Amino acid sequence: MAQQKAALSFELVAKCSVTRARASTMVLPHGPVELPMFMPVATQASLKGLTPEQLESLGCRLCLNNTYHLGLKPGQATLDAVGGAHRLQSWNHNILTDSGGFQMVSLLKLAKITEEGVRFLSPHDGSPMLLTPEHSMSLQNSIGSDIMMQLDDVIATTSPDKERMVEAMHRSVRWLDRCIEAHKYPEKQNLFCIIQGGLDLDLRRECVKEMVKRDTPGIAIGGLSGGEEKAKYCAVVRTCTEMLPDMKPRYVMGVGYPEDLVVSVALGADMFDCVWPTRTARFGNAVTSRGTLNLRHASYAADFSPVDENCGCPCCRSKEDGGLGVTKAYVHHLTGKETAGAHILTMHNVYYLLDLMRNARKAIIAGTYPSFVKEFFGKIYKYDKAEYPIWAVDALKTVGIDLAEA
Amino acid sequence: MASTERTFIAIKPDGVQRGLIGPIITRFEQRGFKLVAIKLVTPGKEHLEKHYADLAGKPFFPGLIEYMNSGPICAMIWEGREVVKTGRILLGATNPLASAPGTIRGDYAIDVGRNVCHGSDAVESAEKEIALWFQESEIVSYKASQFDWIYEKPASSLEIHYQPPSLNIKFIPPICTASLQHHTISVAPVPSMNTFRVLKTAVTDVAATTTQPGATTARTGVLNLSKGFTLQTPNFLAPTSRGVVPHLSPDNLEKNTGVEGVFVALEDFIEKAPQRIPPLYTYPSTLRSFISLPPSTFLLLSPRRSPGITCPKANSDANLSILTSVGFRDLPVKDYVSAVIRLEPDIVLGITDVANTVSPGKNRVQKMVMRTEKWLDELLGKVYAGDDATDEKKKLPAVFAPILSLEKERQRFYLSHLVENVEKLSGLVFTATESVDVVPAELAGLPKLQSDVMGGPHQILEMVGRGVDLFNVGFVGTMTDAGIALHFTFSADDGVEGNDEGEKLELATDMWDARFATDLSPLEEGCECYTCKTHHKAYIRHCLEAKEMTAWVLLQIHNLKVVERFFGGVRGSIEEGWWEKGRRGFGRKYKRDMPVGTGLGPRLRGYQYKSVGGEGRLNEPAYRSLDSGDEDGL
Ligand SMILES: [Zn+2]
Ligand SMILES: [Zn+2]
Repeated sequence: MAQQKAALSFELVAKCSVTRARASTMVLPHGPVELPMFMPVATQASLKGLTPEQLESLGCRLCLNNTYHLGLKPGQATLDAVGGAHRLQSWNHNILTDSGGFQMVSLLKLAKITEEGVRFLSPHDGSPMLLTPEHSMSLQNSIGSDIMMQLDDVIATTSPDKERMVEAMHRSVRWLDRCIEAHKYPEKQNLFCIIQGGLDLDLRRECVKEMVKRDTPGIAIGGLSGGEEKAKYCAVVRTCTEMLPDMKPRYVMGVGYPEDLVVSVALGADMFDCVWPTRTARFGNAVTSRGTLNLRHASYAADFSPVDENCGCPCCRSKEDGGLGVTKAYVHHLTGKETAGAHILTMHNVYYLLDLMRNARKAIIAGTYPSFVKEFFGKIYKYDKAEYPIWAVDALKTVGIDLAEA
Repeated sequence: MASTERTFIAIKPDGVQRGLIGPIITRFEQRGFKLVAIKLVTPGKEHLEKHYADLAGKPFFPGLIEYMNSGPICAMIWEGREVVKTGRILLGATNPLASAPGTIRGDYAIDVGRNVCHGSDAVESAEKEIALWFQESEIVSYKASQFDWIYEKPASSLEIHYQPPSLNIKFIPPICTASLQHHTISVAPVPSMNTFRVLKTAVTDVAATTTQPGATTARTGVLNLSKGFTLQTPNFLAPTSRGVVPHLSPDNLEKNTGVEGVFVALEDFIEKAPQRIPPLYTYPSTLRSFISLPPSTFLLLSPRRSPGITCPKANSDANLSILTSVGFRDLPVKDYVSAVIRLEPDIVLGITDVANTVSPGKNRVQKMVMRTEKWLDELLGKVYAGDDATDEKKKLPAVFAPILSLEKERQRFYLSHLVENVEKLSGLVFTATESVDVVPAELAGLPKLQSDVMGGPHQILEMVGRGVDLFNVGFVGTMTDAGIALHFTFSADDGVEGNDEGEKLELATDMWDARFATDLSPLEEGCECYTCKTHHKAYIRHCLEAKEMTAWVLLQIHNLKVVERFFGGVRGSIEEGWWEKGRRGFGRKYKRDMPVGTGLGPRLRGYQYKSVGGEGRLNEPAYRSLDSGDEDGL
């Protein structure tokens, strides 16, 4: 296999001596990013009412756009005319795009997958459409994302159809080859492969081998977060990271719960994305160091404390500290009634996850990641160990952290 | 919260002489407080001057000392949980007329200057006053046998004491507002006062309107608010919904707009009351803090949104019928009046009793006038109440009195009531355009606020020409929601005479238009707003199409900037003497009407949402099943 061109450089800064956690720096076409990191999802080139300026102020330097959505609106012709997604949304930092195929999976009934590609009806006018690996590359080239994803044949991990799973894994490898072939700008856009294979660890191992051979600049673990058991999710991540080369970034797709992030980092993953923290903000859910709070609940109507006392985001910081000093009660007052309420919580939630990963990185570099993990779970569950999720306890045990220990 | 908190209570000479020592002590005893010191004293002028040291220099100071020195005073120390605050509730408002029945002053007093008792206004001042009036040896420490029957043990930590927020009243003498002066007179504003000065009146073509020069021509002025805000007029306020300028989180409002003042409605904050105490009333700080208002923006509090939505239920003498996001309900007038003190707005509007019919009958009009007057008096009474509570940090809000739409005779009657109170008024507010012309000379020096401008810049210019100083610019939000970008400028350009309406410039542009799909130019060439400096039409159009909230955020930022610039131009024109030319030119240059929006608005918000039923879905679902489609075309 020929050496693939890469538009990134990857430097491993530190490795945890107990777990598989890694701290690294990746330099992308639109600047460096520090891993591990969470990437918020600006589906249609906009993050839930935030301005790019606000997103930048939270410390975000890499966000997602969805190829499928941008392909529909504003459409490829417009993207070409405008000069890509960075230009469209005036975002001078990095963008990662998915292949466009995942949207089909989440709505599997809407698509039919053949060797050629994914067939579906245009939500525009109902006309039949076909998304091939070539078309996905072409779209992502028009978008100009710094990291683009291969089109993969992704089916729900919970699918009982073993044969279909095997087929999907092999097809994903074949489609990667077609993607590499069709990718027009490998010198300025990084194409990541996606490891498939459902929950079958042998299938995953086989896929890793094939994908690693193709030497893409980065590697994603896909097909997860589709409602599988958390223990099985962890087993897949662990199995993959075990075999992956040290010197490439590892991206676990579609993961965004704080606990999943902290455990996955311990298992050796570097990058995560999820719509949940931003989508849930609209419904008044605040992601905090003490778990997720639904601020729509009446008990917050007169709660004049900040959304999260430990948070340094512009909303939670006190006025004396140059922040907005927003209270839970004010978010409660706005939620569902004024979009600014969603903007405020979106800012907080995104900041919380970005900061969680920034702190994880600091801990890895300082050699204190295990105690970071313990404190993290302790805070959420008030140090009541009986409340700790078993999957997390078990998964962390496999990488040398015993949450039950004092 | 300690049950050992102490307060200083004094029964003043009038209270002692009238035999009220017993009844007053009874009230404190019955409430459960403990008397730990008491004596009858005539302390002398020097002592009293120390007691009222904060008020030295006030014009009423000598009179106050005189009164306090006119006979024996019964000095007491009372002890108990939150006795300072609660003591003030038992005493009632400083102005007895504003005190609720059941309070000591509400039951026993009429005039501020004879309000029978004094109570410390804060824990710190209580400590000071106790030290001044008593020796340590005079204070008795004992356990009242009833203690355990009054206090729970352990002291519960989550008591919510709702008190009508009348407690932090301060005494500042009536404000001298409204000095009508022409052609720039600079009087250094007293920082603790709300003042308005007319700087310059426009040179007009029409010389006929000289009887009330300040009132009937365009003018510039400067409004100084007691908390340190200075506003050049003519100027605008941004309407809010639930405390936010729609689409703008407070950081965006501060960083990316030049909004200097916001219009906030109390009805946005009290939806579940009276079944439950509105959370805002238990909030320990001010309204501006609750809504995270930028420190450089002043807050105007109105009982109702403007324009108000008519309620099916009529107002009563004590209640205003309002609309909240959970339906219609009553807002007790006394709650609003109390909120005014407690929430510390910078400007507060008097309450108008608007009839819920289009053409109210004679009796209804009569009632409207009477209630509006009565409610204004209640508000003024509360704002200016005070004799002994001094807190220099707290400043009085500027009260704007409503101007009603009335027939001549009744209007004269109503306006004379305002004239009587002119010293306590800091401004006038009205909704109906023609009301502005009735303002009598005595009130002409007050700033005038039009509380809902739904039309647009032509309407604003017309009103500026009639001497209106402040505008609540409701039309901006309407345009933003419709996806329309404003672009008009007030300049010295005279325009072309006889321009056809069709040849005139558009005031704004509908950004839904597909022609902007790849347009990389800013919303308005040369605009300095964040949106125009950072983004282009193609993105805004894309966000509208994609129903992304960012579209409306960016449009709102730009549209507010256009309005800010427009008012800057208007002020400049008056100052520099080209107002008439500019106004004429604007009329010749720009179309009369705003373009009509074609796209879908943002998600309906809060109170705006009215489910009528059978309207069908606003948005078609984005996905359809492949199975339901026709694959023939493949
Ligand atoms: Zn926060
Ligand atoms: Zn602009």
